[in-house]
Amino acid sequence: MADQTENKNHMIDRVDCVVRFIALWAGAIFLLALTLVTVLDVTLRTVFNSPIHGGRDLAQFSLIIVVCASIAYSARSGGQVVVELFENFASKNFMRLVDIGVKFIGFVMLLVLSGHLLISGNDASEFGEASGTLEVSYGPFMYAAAFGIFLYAIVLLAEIFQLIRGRSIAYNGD
Amino acid sequence: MSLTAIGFIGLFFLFLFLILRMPVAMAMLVVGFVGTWVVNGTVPALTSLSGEAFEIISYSELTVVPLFVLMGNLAGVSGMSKDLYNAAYKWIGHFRGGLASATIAGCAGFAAMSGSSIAAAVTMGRVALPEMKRFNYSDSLATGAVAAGGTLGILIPPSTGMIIYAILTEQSIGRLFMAGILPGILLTSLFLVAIYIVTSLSPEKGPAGPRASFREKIDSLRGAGSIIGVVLVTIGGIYLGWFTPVEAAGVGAFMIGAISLFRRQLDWIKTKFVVLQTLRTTATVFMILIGAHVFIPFMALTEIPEDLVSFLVGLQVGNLGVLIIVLLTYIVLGTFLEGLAMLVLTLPIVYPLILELGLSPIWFGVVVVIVLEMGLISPPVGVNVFVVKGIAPDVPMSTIFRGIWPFWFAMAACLAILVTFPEIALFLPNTMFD
Repeated sequence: MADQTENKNHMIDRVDCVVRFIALWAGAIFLLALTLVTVLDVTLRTVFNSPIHGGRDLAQFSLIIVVCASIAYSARSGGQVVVELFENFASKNFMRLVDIGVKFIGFVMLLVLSGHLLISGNDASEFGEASGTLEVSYGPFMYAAAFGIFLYAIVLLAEIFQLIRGRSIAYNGD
Repeated sequence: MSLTAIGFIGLFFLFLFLILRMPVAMAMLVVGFVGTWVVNGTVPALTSLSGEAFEIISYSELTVVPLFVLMGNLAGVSGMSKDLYNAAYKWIGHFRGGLASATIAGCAGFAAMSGSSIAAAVTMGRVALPEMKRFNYSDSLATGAVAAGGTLGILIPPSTGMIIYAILTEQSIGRLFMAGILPGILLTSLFLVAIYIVTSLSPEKGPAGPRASFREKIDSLRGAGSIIGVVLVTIGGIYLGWFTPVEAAGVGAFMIGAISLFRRQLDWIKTKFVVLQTLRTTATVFMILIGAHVFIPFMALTEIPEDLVSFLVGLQVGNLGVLIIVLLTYIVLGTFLEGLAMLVLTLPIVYPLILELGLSPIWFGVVVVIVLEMGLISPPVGVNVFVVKGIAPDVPMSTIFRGIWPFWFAMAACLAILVTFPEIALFLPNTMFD
C-alpha cells in the first residue's frame, strides 16, 4: 500500500492522468464530431443534394484536434513503433543511460517542433492563412498542434526523470 | 562534403537511433530535420519541419485513418466477429479442417471492416481458438490459422498499410483499396488450400466438426447479415463512386456504432476502450507520417534514391530480376523489422525504383502489403505470432511457428501469382475509375 501511495506521487502518474484525460475527452468529442460531420455531409449531399457548408473544413479541424489530443497518450500507452533489433545487447544500467539519451534527443526535437509550430501559428493568424471554405484562421489550430507536441515532450521529460531515479517505465495501454 | 556522403551519414544515424530503440517516427524526424539543416540551412529546415507536420495533421484525406480505425475497433467489440465465425462454422465446420477454414473465412470477413492485422488476429483468435481446442485440432494448425488469417486485415480493404503507402507515394486510397480485394480473395483461397493440404497429409490435425442442419445454416446467415450489409455499403460504395474512402470510413464507423448500440454491446467501459484504442493507433500512424514527411525530402536532397536506382537498373538483370531482388530484400527485412517501420523506411528508396522500372504503383502497393503480411508471421519477430501467443499462452512459440509455414508458403504463392498476373490487382481499380 505504501508503495502504491508513493507511486501515485510520481510525476509520470500525474502526466498520465493529464494525457489520458485530454485524449479521452477532447479526443473522444472530436472523434464523434468527425464521424457525425462526415455522415451528415454524405447524407445531406445524397438525399438533398446539399452538403454541409464547409463540411470538409469542419472535418479537417476535428482531425487536427483528434491527432493533437492523442499524440501524448499514444506515447504513454506504448503506441510508438520501436524496432526491437537487439533488445538487451548491453547491461541494464547502460541501456538505462541509452534510453535517457534517446528520450532527451526526442525531447529537444519536440520542443523545437512545438516552438516553431507556435511561430507558424502567429504567422498564420497575422497573415490570414485560413481554411478553404469557412475561412477560419489556421492560427489556433497550429497552437493546438504545438500544445499536442509539447505534451509529448513533457511525457518524455517525465520518463527521463523516472529513468534518472532508477525506476522502470510502464506503459499504460487500455 | 558531397550530398551523397551526407545522406549516408544520415542513414547511419537513422539506423543507430533505431538500434538504440528510438521510436521510428522520432528517428526519422530527428535525422530528416538535422539532415535538411545541414544541407539547406536553419530556416528551410525549421520551415520544412513545422510545415510538414501541420500539413499531415490537417490533411483532410487522412480523416480516413481515425474513422476506419474506429470502425475496426467498434467491430471488434460489437460481437460481429462471433457472428461471422458462427456463420462460417455452420457452413464449412463439418469438413476436415473446417474450423480452421472457418477461422480464415471469419478473418477475411472481419478484415473487410478492420484495417489492422493485430485486431483481426486478436478478435478472431478469442472466438476460434477455444472452439478448435474443443474439437481436438492440433495446436499448430489452430494457432497458425489465426495468426495467418489475421494478416488478411491489412490486405483486404480498409487497410492501414495501404493508407500509409498511398499517402507516402501520393496514390489514390480508393484505387489501392479496390486493388486489394481480388488478391485478398486469392490469398484467402490459398490459405484454405493450405489447410486442405495439411489436413489431407495429417487428418488428425483438423478433425471434422458436427454437421449443422440447413435451418441452422440459414439462421447463421442472419447474424452475419449486418456485417455483409456494412461491407457492401462501405467497400461497394467506394467502388460504385457513391463515397470517397473518407466518407465510406465515416459511414462504416457510424453503421457499426449504431448496430453495436442496437445490440446493447456498447457500455461505458467498452466505449472508453474503443475511443482510446482508436486515438492511440491514429496518433501512431500520424507520428510515423510526420516523421516520414520530414525524412523523405532529406533523402530526396541527398540523391541517394537516384544513385540506388541507377545501380540496380545497371545490374542488367531485367525488370523482373530487380523486382525479385527488391521483394527478397523485403522478405528478409520482414523477419526482423516491424511492418510499418519497414514500409516508411524503405519506400523513399524503393518507390523511385518502381517508377523507373515502369511498374504500376498501385500493383506494387498490393505486393508490398503481402510482403508485410509475410513479415507479420515470420520468425523471430512476427507480431501476429506474439498476439496469438497472448491468446493461447499454453502453446509454445515453436509450435505456433511450425503451424505458420503452410500459410507462409501460400503467401509466397500469392506473391508469385501477382507478379506473373498483375491484372488480378489492377482489374477492379481499372474498371472503377477508367
